[in-house]
Amino acid sequence: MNEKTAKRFNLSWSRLYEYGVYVIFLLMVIVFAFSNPHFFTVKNAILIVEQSSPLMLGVCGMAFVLMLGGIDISAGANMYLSAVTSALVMQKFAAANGPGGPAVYLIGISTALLVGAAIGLVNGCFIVKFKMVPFIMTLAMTSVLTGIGLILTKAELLPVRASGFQPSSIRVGPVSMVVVIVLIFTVVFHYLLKYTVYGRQLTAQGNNEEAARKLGIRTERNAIIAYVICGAMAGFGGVLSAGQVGALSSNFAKGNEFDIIPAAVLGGISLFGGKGSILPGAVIGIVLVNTITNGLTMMAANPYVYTIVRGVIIFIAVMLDSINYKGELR
Amino acid sequence: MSTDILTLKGIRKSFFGTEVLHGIDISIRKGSVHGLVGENGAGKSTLMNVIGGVFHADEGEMMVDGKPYLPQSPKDAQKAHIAFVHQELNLFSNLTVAENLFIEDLPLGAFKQVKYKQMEKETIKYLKDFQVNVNPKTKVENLSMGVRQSIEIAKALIINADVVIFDEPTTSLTKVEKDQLFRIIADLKARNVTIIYISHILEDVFELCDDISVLRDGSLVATMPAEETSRDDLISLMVGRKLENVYPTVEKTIGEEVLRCEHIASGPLVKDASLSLHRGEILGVFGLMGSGRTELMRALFGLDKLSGGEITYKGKPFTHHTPKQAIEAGIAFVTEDRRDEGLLMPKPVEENLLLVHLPALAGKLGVVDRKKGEDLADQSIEALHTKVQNKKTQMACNLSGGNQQKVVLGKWIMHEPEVLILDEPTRGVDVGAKYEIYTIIQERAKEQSCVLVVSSEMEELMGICDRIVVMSAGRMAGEIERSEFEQNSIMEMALAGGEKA
Repeated sequence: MNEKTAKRFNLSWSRLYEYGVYVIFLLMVIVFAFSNPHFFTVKNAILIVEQSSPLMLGVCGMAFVLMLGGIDISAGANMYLSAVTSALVMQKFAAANGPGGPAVYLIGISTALLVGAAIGLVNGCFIVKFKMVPFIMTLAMTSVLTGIGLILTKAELLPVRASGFQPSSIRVGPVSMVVVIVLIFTVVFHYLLKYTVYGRQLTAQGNNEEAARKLGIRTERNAIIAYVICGAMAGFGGVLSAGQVGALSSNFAKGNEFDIIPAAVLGGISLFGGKGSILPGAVIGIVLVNTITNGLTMMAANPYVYTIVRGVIIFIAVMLDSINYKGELR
Repeated sequence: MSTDILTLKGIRKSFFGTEVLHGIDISIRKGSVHGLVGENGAGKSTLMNVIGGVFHADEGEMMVDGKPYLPQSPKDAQKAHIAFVHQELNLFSNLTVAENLFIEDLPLGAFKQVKYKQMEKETIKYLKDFQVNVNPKTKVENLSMGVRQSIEIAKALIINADVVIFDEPTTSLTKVEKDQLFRIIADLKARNVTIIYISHILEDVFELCDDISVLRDGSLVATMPAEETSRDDLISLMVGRKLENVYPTVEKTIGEEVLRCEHIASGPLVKDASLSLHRGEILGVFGLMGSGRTELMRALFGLDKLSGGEITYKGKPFTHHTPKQAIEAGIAFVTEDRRDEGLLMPKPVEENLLLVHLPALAGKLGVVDRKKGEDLADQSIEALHTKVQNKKTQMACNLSGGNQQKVVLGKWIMHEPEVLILDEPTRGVDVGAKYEIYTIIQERAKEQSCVLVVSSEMEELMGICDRIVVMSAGRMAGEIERSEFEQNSIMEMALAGGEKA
């Protein structure tokens, strides 16, 4: 096969890949819109955006790890534990100083960021320094984090709203503060990935780590930072999500990594590393995942169908990614 | 012009306890083009990697422009204005041309943001010097190999290099692209840049270089001006060892033809290869790196698909087989990469030994006869003199290179193959174990197996083979019987393909 035909071949696949997500998105919206009159409304659109927001932070962080060719399965468990510790700290603080006020927000969010970042640091150090397989390392982490969370809460329902932490009740125009914060972070992280030395070198090493090392790029440091960002954003997403829900059950954020990762991949960030961006890909990915859940709920579908749909979403995302990767000249 | 820009004194370097550079002294004249030649494994690339800061020398010192130079990383080499064009491409295919050129030192604006506009402008200006006409926004994955190579060179030179090292730069280039590269080199020379040029292709070396150094077995054999030497002199300097008596001899008879392949083509490297292998024969396949020798073996074993040609095995066509069918038909393949392809490193010796023969040990219900397996493993360890303390607990990764190789050989021999393909069977093996491996090979031939040995050590092939075929650029460059073995003529043949390319 000569180069020209090879290129055309690649192009047609990447076209399908690029627009495939939009087509699915559009089809879904049409199907849902016809099956329920309340689906295609501004109110519902805002609801979907609100629901997507905390997970979008997770997607932003995950983008860095995926760019590297890594993966962080512990994102969901990280959200849970970060939210739990943060909620407990806020509870203590509220008990001493009375509920509400900006201090509660500040303390709650910084706790979640710190706990999340610490988890990311542990993940990153073991994966980079001991060459552990990211999947297994973070899978083990998932189990440990969930366990700690259950011990801290004694597996009981942990109220969050009582401390006065209600970020979704603060409105900015038609949406809540959560959406605004997430939008700002999304833009910042997109910028970090696309326009800074760190982001470009991370993208480079995700493509060819050996070459990056030969050029003197600090690959290990970059990789650890990626996991820290991923952890911190999961933690942040966790506490915002907790604020939306109002109380933490032992099932909180369970399996969220399987929304976050497919969303990123559907948005064009490759599991093989070095490809994709946060804007617009990853944003569309997460909105798509949430639109499907929302639509199914409105259709009053059998709750077990969600599990199947989630499986299908992961399948489609990974399949498109693999097809795209194979057809490419590296 | 007589000042030396780069001086090396007593450079030594070991890998895993084996010394590969034995105290190299070399001086490079400022503004000269210095050729470096030598056989595979002579230590050329290692030496250059030491200069380029990729490896640290264990001993010795280097001076750049009279100042001591101790590179800890490739960055230090860049700071000393030494650029390195690696043999394999080190570009990031997912990034644009401009990003690739500047990735180490991206131009930043007031907000620490990458200034793409400026970067792209500079790229256009810069690439013009190299007569490369590409849009700086193009992703590298959409470019041809030749353009990629030019970009790689441009990238290495962006640091305003005083010294540029080219490690086999022409391997993936077409004739036109090669001419262009030579123009760039002439250009650099005119700007008083010093060039170190490593190549297998002696014609190129003579065309380009002012001085030539020859490395052999990790030592510098000679440095001389190019006018004062000839191609033949260089070849004998490159291979000029005396054959020592390190090869066992066994009385054996050579029988009928077992395997024959005709006009095989496979992948990008094997273009038209034919050979025939007889019972009891040890056939050597010699070729330089990239000549397609390993790829031919892979094709014979069914690992790579044939795109042309035919294989006949024991008189029957045997062309589109899988490795499994090859094993069942009695073909064994010891790959050159013992670590990744030959052994299950974290598994015990016994498990490794029984890997191939396992299906034959299974009883009616598919249950493996462990007792029989243990006996066979013991026999193999004894027969090959493998030094193993405990075959059930000792992991393959804890064995020395020689013993690891014996385990690989043992697992195949247990299956009593009729055709044994060995790719670099003594790489990373010490001298004592080498002799034992040669003995094992000879014994297999005596027992009427056919053996196909690929090696880049010519001396080794001459020591053990009955016949040697030489590959060059994916084709057969010649064939020599044992009585006519001669190093220089074999090397001539191996180098011959380079002239055509």
